[in-house]
Amino acid sequence: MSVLARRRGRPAGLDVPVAVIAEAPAAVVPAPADCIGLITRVFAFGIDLAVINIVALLTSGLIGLLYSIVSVPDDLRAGAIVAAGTAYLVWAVGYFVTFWTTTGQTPGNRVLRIRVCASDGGRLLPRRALLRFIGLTLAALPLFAGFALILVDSRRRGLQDFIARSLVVDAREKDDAAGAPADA
Amino acid sequence: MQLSALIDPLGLAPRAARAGARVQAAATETAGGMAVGAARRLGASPDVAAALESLAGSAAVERALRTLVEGTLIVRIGDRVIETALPQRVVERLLGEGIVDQVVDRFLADRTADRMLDSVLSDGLADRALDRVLTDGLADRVIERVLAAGLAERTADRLASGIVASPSTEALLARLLESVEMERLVAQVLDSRLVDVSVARVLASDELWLMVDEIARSPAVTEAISHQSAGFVDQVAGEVGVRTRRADAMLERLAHRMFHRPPLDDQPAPGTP
Repeated sequence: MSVLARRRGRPAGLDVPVAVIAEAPAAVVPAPADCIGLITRVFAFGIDLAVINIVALLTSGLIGLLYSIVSVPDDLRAGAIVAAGTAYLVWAVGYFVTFWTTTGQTPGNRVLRIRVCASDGGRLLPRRALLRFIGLTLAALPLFAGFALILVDSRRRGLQDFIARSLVVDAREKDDAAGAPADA
Repeated sequence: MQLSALIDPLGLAPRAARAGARVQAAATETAGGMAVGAARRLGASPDVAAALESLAGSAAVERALRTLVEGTLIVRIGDRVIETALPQRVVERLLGEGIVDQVVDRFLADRTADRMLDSVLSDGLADRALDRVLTDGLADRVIERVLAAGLAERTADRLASGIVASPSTEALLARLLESVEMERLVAQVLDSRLVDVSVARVLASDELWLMVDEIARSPAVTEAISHQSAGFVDQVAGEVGVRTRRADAMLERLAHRMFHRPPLDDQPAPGTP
């Protein structure tokens, strides 16, 4: 009896090929050669940071403009600063978590044609995406030493990837296939 | 010893040829002067004017013209002349050898044409001849016959295929276009107010801007612009991606060497999808 049949509780005589049993297309485990290195990821991250901060600056400028015509008591000023900081954090976390869990590509990743996925090649779950963001922060704390792991790991994983069990892979073939005409 | 020295030891043949050329030039000059003088005398003569007037008014001339016009003789002659390409050859010869230029220059220099024209106009001969031709319907009949026989179309075709396409005409046109006078003329036209006014009127017309709007909004143009913009962004992003991946590979090789780790066998080929 095959391993597959034992798992499904079927007799060995009813064994059928895996391709026939599998209804949903299984996620392809990325090969180590498909994993992306440090510099490409830094460029993509830089584009994402630019997007995040430009939006945050525009928003804070708009709010500051509103505050300029309304007199705010000093007691509320500290609270406003805390609220702004929290909003910035939520915005940054929401930005990465949303893109990683939906398309796997932030705008920066899209430009450089890379994609974040789970280690089995599937889509990253929200919980793991949140862990990945925390791991990203932790990797940056010791003078970005957490990112140096990317240079020596066989699948080019940083600290955040080890924590969230994620990979960053090349998306050029997938993008080209998606952009190709339907009849091609 | 050369053969020419044997045949003509005194060198008389070249001298004879030069003398012949001088005689021919003198004869041509004399003949031209005589022709112009005769034309001048004829134009100034009251007898000639009277003879022309009586001829134009005579019934015999009118009958002869009517017979010619109403018969098929003119059409047949015209067809025959056109078929032989005689007009084309004559025009090419006249233009090519400059004969027309010489005759016209000589004619105008002597002011014979002016005197003949003054004489004809002052006597009212031209007016009377023209009145006669128009009132008798002669001109109408001539035109009708010419048009009915298709002579005008054939002549135009022959002219178009013969004179316009001839090398002489082409050379004449090329010389005209390369001349300084033509350049000056074109420069004057461009410097004139006519061009400015024409451009201003075209720019002020609503039709022009309607046409520009239509072109700008056409699917072909908008698709081309968007395609070009997207293509440019893709091209830049693709090139940046290729370079960063190449830098990745270099940096990893350096790191593996520093940490004495074996290089990855499965390094992605930089720049390959």
